[in-house]
Amino acid sequence: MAATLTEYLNTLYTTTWAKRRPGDVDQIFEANKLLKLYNSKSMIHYESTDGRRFEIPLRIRKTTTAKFFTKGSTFSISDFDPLTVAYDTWKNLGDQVVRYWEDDKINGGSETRHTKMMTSKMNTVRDTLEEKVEDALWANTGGASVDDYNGLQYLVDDDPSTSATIHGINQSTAVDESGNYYWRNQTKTSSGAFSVYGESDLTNILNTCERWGKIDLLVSDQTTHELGEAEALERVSVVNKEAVNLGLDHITFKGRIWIWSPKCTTGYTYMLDRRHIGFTIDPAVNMIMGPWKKIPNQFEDVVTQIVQRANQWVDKRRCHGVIISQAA
Amino acid sequence: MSKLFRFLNPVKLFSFAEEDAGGGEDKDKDIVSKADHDALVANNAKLTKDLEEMRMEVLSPDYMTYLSNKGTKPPEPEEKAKAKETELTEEALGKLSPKELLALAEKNAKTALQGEMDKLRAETATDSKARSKREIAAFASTHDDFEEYRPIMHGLSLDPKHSHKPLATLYKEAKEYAARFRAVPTEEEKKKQKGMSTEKPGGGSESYADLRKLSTADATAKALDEVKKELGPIPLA
Repeated sequence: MAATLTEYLNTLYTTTWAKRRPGDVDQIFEANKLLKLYNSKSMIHYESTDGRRFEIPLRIRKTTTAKFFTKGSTFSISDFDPLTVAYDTWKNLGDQVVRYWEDDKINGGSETRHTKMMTSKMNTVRDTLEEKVEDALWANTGGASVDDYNGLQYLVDDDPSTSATIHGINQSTAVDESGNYYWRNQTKTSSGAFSVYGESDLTNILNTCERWGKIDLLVSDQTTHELGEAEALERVSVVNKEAVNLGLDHITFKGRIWIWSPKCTTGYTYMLDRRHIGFTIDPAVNMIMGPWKKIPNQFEDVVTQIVQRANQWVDKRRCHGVIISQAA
Repeated sequence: MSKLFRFLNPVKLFSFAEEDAGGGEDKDKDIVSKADHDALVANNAKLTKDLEEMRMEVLSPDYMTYLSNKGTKPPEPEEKAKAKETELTEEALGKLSPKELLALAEKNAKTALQGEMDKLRAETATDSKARSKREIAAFASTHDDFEEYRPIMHGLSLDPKHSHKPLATLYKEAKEYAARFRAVPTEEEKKKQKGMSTEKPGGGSESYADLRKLSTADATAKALDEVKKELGPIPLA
């Protein structure tokens, strides 16, 4: 039995998305500077859903038995597990494609008209998802109580001493063996005008963060980035080889890539150690198209969804930092 | 030494009154001081102990058995004793009933036959091994690369389904087996392998790497071609 117009177009849309998906997923990641830079450090991980939550292995504990010793000295024998596993929930992102029978019918048997409409619908979905990914990555929300990814502002908090639970660990109370708050990122309020204090403030928080890691990415809002570019242009190199290879418009601060994002809060500069922040995707649910369903009370109108399952995470927080209230 | 002897003889040692009764300076010569007495008692105890230890070392159970059996005839080996048991004297044979005689003869004949058969089997096995060796040597002399394929041939021959195959067949199959591994992959195979290395789960049968290179227009055109091939042109209704 020959396929009906609706069935035919269902197959065409599904086949087309299957072929477009790898390129479109790349495009979503390419368009997002943050994900592009994570990917450059192999911090976009592919991990299948195994249970309700995904695991984030943390190495925050230290042994207390290391010592200098002389002949015949003894070591205290005690069991030690350096690995602490934090948990977070997978987040589902999706959008839908609706097709009305009337539109399908109007386009009749014309390949060109059908493919034009299909391309337009799919491009729109891709662009919407791209924006959603960007929004969620920069949001100040996260955790199990919200549907969005963990946002950068949530993972690198501008007030890390307040009570907030990130990956199931409360940043205000979690301490290590030495009584240090291991689950708090660094933060600093600008000392004054950027023209006077900008460089020293950035240097100060950079050094503070580097006591626990290796900062390799700075992200600011547009205004702060432009201030930095104007002030630092004469003294610092403006080219970073990695950023050039990635085709990123950037400046550098002490050799680190410095970019800006329209989603970044005004007056903020984030200092990130990309070895300890990343994005995990379930490869089986990476922008896949579901089956076409008939809308019950409409004649031959159909709908499908394109979905992704992922989340953003940190496995160490002390090495990241944020400087706030920067202004001209 | 005389003092030691005296102390080894406790009766004499403690009979001071009797000696004293003799009186005079000579009698005092036999009297020892308390310190000497204690030293000699201790020495005596030590010597007794050493003697006991030496006795225990020398007179081990094996040595004691040897000593007790010394002079007697050594026992006969077990097998010999058994053989003797089975040997029947004419007198004993005479006492057996015809039925018992038949059973005994049957038993003896079976044992003798079994022995002969074992001997023959061993000889045949040796012959078979020698024959195989000769056959292999002859085959090797006519095939220069025999040693190269020998391990594969051995591996094949271990499979019961190849056990009946002659050397020539095994050699041919070993060569075919090796050729499969030495073959250079075709361009098509190379491309497939390359694609497999970059393919992510959830992808179709096509290479993920190839698909990500497609532009939107190319992907759409390819999909349309595939659907048309399967379902024909777009229907009107």
